[in-house]
Amino acid sequence: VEDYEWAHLPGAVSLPLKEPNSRAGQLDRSRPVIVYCHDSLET
Amino acid sequence: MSPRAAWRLEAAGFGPAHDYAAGKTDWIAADLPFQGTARLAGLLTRRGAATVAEGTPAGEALRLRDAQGFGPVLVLNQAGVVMGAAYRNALGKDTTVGRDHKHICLAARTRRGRLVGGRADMACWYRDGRWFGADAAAGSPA
Repeated sequence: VEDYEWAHLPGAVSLPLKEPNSRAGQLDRSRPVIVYCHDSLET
Repeated sequence: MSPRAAWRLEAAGFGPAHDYAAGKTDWIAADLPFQGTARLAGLLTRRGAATVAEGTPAGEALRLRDAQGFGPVLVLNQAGVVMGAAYRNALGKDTTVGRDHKHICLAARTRRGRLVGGRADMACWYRDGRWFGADAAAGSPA
């Protein structure tokens, strides 16, 4: 959450891995989904 | 961890889920827009600072710096990596500028895209050493 508040791509939704489905309802199922972490070292 | 999140989303019926493997820092480093409270070095610096190769005569470096009108002259090696920086008031005293220039003043580094150290008024470069800007913010040497 801290990293999300610090900076996120415009319109991005924060999905904590511990609760990935809890906020997935905010996503538009008709649009492609792009997932990212803070940097490549966290992938 | 983003591949795992992508897999979970696809399993939950979203799809296809693409993984932006390079992550947020890659996006920010490309100067693309973002939302949030981040105070990035890139927001505080001006691009287009004068650059010279190591060994450039001070007079030439001074001419290039004055043509830009701000900040230090950044000294780059052949790979474009910042090796030093020289401010205007130092350029009249030395015959050439280079990595051993005694007025090297590189104060602001970025770590994970964030400012490290207390000053953001000099030269900034990426983790791989490529420079992206210099600044003449209030209080910095001319």
